[in-house]
Order: sequence, then C-alpha cells, then structure tokens
Amino acid sequence: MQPYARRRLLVVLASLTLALLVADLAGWAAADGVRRVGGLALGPVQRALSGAPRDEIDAVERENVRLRSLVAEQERQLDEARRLGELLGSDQTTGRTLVPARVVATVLSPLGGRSVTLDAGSRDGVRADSSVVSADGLVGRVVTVTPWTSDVQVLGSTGSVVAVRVGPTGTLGTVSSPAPGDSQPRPRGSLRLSLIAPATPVVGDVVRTLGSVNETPYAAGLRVGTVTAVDPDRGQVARAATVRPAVDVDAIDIVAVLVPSTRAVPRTESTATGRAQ
Amino acid sequence: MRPTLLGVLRTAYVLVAALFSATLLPRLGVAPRWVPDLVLVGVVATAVLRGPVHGALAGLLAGWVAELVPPVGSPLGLAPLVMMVGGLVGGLFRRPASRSRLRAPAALLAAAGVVLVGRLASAVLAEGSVDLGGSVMRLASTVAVGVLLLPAFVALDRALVRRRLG
Repeated sequence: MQPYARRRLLVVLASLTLALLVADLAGWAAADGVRRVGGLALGPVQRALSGAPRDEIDAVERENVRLRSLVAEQERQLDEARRLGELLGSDQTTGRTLVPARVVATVLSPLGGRSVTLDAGSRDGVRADSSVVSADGLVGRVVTVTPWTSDVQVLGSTGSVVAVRVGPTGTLGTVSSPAPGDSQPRPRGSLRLSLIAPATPVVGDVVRTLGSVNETPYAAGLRVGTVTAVDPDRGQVARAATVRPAVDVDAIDIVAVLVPSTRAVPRTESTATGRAQ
Repeated sequence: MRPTLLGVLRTAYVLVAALFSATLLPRLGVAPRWVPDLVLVGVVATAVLRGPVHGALAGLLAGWVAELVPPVGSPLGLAPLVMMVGGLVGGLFRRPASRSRLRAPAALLAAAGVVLVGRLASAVLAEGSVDLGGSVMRLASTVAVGVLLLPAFVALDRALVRRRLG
C-alpha cells in the first residue's frame, strides 16, 4: 500500500472512530448496535475459552444464589410482619381504625426537625391532619396528602406544637421543639414541655396527647414521651421540662395513620347515683 | 491487496491477545492490575519496524478488536483512539539503520505511557478519581512481558519479510 493511501485510510478510520465515540456519548442507538455485534461475535469464543461448564456444580451454584435471595426476601417480609404485628398489638392503636404505612423517604429540614413520607395516600384513606403513631407512641401528623403518598411532620419539627397531659394528674401543657432562645440547654432530639397551669412536673412523668376535636390533628391518649429533666425554678409561673420522645425518629419504619372517627351517635345522658363505686 | 501470512498472523495475535487478557488471565487468577496489555505489545512490535503512520493504523484496528471483546468498553471508541496514539508514538522510535535491542522496549514504554495517560485522563473525566497504583502496575507488567516478547516478534517479522511473506 502506498504511504499516502495508508495515511488517508488512517484519517478515515480515526474520523469514523471519533464519530462513533461522539455518537456513543450522545446516546445514539447505533453505538449499542456495535456493542451487540462485539458480544455476538466474540461472546461464544469467550465462553468456550473460560471453560464455563454446564455441569452439576454450575447448576447447584445457581440454585444457591436463587435460594439465598429467596431467604433474604422472606426474612425481610417476616421482619415486616413482626413489626406490623407489634404495631397492631400496641396499646397505642387498640380500638382505633388505622392505615398501616411504611416510611419511604425522610428529609432533614434546615430549620431543624424532619419530615417523612409514607407510602399511603388519599386513595388508602389517609386524610390531612391525621395522627401518625408507631408501636411506641406518637410520631407526628400528616400535613400533605397525595393519592399514593403522604408527608408527615414529625414530632419536634419547628412549628409542631402538641397539647398534652402530664403525669398521673393530667396537668395541661404543650410540647414543642426546643426554641433557639430556650433558657435551658436540652439534649439533641429532645422536646420542650411547657405547662399551662402553675404546677411542677416530676421526672419520669409520662406525657400523653390531650386530643383534639374529632381526633384532628391529634387523637387523645397517645404516648408522646417521658419527662427526663425539669428546668430549675427561676420564678416563672409555670415550669418547663425536657421530654424524651417515646419514638426514635431516626428509626421509624412501619407506622399507622389513625383514621379520625367522627362521632355520629349522641352521648346518652346518665344519672348520678351518689354512691362511690 | 492479497492477505499475507504476516498480516494473518498479526490479526490472529491481536484477537488471541485480546481474548486472553479479557477472559483467560482473570480466570487463571491474575489480578486485574497485573494483566499486561498484550495487544499493545503486538501493536508496538509492528510500529517500531514500520513507522508512525503504520503504527497508528495498526493501533486503531487492534484497539477496535480489544474494544469489541466483551465486556465492550464504554464510551465506545475511546480505547481505539488512545491505542492509535500509542501506536503512533511507538512508530516514532523507528530507526532502520540501528539494530539496538533496547529500542523496541523503549518504544513499548512510551506507547504504554501514552495509553496510561489516556486511561487516567478518561477516568478522571468520567469518575473524578483514578487508581494510579494499579495503572502503574499494569504498565510495569506490560513492559516486562514486552521485553520478553518483543525481540521474538521483531525477529519473526524480519524473517517473514525476508522470505517475501510479509
């Protein structure tokens, strides 16, 4: 071959290669065709070379892989069923109508707190401003509903305030996220309890929701957390305290959205007998 | 153009080398970082005897063979272009008057360096990080294998040309 012809051939082939490279980077189908040709022509040779035996060991190994993936899937389902059973057996959900859901996404808000997305939406019967509970207690409330998902404002988010009853006496108060101007430092993830009436909470008191009209947004009697510390007396009328949430918000997985039950039947009147039971 | 024995042998070598380094060596337990670039050795053996243009052409075609051996490279066509430049650089080492034994390995080192730079550059562009140690090991193993193979290739090439078979 003449040197000139050879140079021309080189230029042509290099240009073709460059064109194919650009086509591949641009995602054209022609490049995939070339790729398939490579596999089609040389794949059988490679199989023969690597001596891939279609024998018993091969089949057993394949079966092994299939069974392993099956076991993993079964374990996952069992775990899910166990957690759902826990949730349904929990005292938090006894006697309530609920929609089970799973957390599919979680977002940490730059302002603090977090919101999570559940895989249940309005088609599943979830309404905005429903309570969301886990087996341990209150998780938060539904703020946005789409047909198949819903967003939940988790307890402790900025702007989430829950009316509560504290301790055996049922003192009224509110639980909110620790505000930036809080006089007392509180551990990360804990909540601030402020009482409405002049009373002093005790460490170990259980904090439960007060409940709202028609159970919207919070149903009554859900466990919010436990008082872990009481702020020192600085002369304020009502004392504040630190509450550790009952639910670990970092690890919530299976939850239940409580379906609010509206009362349709009027309450029956009762007559006091004057005799203590 | 009639196919010559030399041309057939070269094509066969490139094909076998590509299959060998993609399929057989990993199967035999050779770590990927130690697999030598056997195709490049063949390209340099041609380039150092025939000059840059021939070397570039051989590099481009051999690069395509190596690229099409599954797993097919991505992006398609980058490896042939890099190999083409490697062959071109290897061809620059041609000195018809000299018969020094060191020239072919030196050409291989230069060509392997070009291929190394090309791979590293594309890896940086594509992934943002490179396995520098592994690449240098691959270069070392390529040169080591080349030192053993190149004299035999060059001698075979010369013998076939002398007998009008190339």
